[in-house]
Amino acid sequence: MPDPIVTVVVPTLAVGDALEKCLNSLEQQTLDLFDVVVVDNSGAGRARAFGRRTRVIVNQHNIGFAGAVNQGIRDSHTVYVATLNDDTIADRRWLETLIACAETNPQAGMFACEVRLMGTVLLDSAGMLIAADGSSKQRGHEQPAAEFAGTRAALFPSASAALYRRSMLDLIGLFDENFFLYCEDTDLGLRARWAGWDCCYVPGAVVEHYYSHSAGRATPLKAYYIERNRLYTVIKNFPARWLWRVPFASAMRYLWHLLAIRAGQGKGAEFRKSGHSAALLPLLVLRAYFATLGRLPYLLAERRRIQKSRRISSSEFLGLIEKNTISLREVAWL
Amino acid sequence: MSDGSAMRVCIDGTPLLVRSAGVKTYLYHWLRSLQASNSPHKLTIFPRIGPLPALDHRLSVKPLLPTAFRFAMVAVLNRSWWPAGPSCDVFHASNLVRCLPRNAKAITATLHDLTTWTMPEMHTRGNIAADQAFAEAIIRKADRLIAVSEHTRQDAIKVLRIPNDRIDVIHHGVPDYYFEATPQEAEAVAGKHQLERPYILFCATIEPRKNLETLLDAYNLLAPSLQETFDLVVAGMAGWASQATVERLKSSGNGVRYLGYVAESDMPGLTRGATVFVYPSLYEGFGFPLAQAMAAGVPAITSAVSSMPEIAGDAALLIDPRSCEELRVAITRLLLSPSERESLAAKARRQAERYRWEDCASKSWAFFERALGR
Repeated sequence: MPDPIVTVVVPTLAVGDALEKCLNSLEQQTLDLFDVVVVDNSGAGRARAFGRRTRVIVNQHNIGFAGAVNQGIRDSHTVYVATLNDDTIADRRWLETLIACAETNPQAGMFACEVRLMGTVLLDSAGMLIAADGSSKQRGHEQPAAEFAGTRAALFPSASAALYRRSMLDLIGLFDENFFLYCEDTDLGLRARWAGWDCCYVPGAVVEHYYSHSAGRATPLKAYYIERNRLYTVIKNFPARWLWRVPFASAMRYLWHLLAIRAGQGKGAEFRKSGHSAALLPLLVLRAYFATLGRLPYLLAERRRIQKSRRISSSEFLGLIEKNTISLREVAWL
Repeated sequence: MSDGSAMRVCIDGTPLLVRSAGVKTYLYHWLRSLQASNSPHKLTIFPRIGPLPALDHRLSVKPLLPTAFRFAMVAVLNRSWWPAGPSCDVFHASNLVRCLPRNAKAITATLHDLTTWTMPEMHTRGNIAADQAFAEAIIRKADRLIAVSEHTRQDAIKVLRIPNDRIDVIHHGVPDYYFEATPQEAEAVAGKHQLERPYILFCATIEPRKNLETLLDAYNLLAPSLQETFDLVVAGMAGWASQATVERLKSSGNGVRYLGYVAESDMPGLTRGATVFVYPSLYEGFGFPLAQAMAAGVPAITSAVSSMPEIAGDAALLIDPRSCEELRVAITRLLLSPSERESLAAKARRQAERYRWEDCASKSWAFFERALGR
């Protein structure tokens, strides 16, 4: 048996059929060069080793996505780390295609997969896009995967299915555990970009995803984390000359959300359909701002650290973002 | 003749006069190693050829007229009314000889493979007829036989019902220059053939049995980033029923480099420079290219059929040659795993030490002695 070169980290909250299907799809991989770490965040400790290449880390309580993935990364020594949501099914050639790309693109430290919506030819994501207020969205969401077959670059991957180079993580640090859940991949991706690492989009490295399976489609918790973590991301990563725009952009997006909710569109409307009052949203937003304020010293220290070790200029960074931007209207409306 | 006296061995060298790959390589290096070995016995070659020039698989080792003359001699020998062949104690026949020299005390021959029996679809009718005539005239009557692998020996026992105590396994050797090939040599050959990217190597005569089509399919299905990084280099002359494959080689642009016949002097460098050597043949009696790659310390992928597992030992990845997917995955695995390439390469060098021409020569002299009942 050759030494593994990739560790696939699968954090899970709901140990069940979905996880089993996911691990089973890993057992079917064509390439025999990886091991698997399942990090059980359910608190129930029910995850069992599945297959000879899998080991399990059990947490007494939910330490969040970022914390769980970091545990898996620290527990391994392979050249690459893949993150994979437990509500996915990896195509047999997923790792083969992904590693082939990684081994032949040493300048890249991140690799975004062709993540499809389960059972369709539509994309969940082909890497991520970012908006002027720091919100991030999946690129290509609900568009045919074939439209991105000729694409080779992305801004950064969605951690629902991604590959990272360990040497990059050693330099820039792991996922920020203060994020707990959501947008930790955006923060990591932007930090990597500042440090000069590229991101490849790897068409053919297919993963099918039951979208937002683990935390429900639109819950108050999710709304809160996404809003707070957007602010974390902005403060840590946005260049100074863009920061002043963020409050205006945020206001603009709230407005679009309002319109979208009235039109029964977007995540806001979904939130209402899930039985929550839309009036809750401003309160969640406010709570996110207070939480950010409380974390400001930490976030600013991180910002200084990132800027100190940056390898590209602000203009280059902004150039990258402008190539991978999504409008505020689309953020609210999709 | 007493046991201690020198024996006179005559080896039929007619295959040196024709276009041939494996059998000719064997005969050429075998004769040279027998000549070089410190033996009390006397070796002659029939027909007389003189000092052996550099090896070229495409042509006779002799110019046209001398070649024709020597063929005439073989034809004469093949007529049963001719009173005597070359005078010797042991006559080692090739498959171009049909009649036994009457004054030889023992007749021997080398069995390369039995594919004209086991895989007739891979041969021309002429080939099949020639092998069968050879079997009737020589193999069944021979006093002793050399099988080039245990696998060939077992086939001979099964297919031709030859008693097992009449067959000895003597593996081929690999010329020392494969063991000694250097990275500098590899670089020079790569420059000469304009190979700018790292490459996967296949070398053999292009014919259906070598299964190159499956390799081309597998290469085309490799992850795009691997195809963009690694060329597939194909070296070998066009053989039987090769037209479609050669056309495909010439027309497939991206990454496939067809070099045609590569001079033997370039082969060690070309082999040494490969990242991975792939030999998905459907059948081999021995499989020179595989052993050569192993000697050069190149990690190899080969078929889990016929003699190849025996020759490779645990020093190559074995695949089902009919499975394009298995082949593709094995190639990907090796291309992506430097540690596995290193460990296979080290094992391959160790395994290849079993295939030295010196050993082959000393075993062959002992074989001839046994053939005379000594």
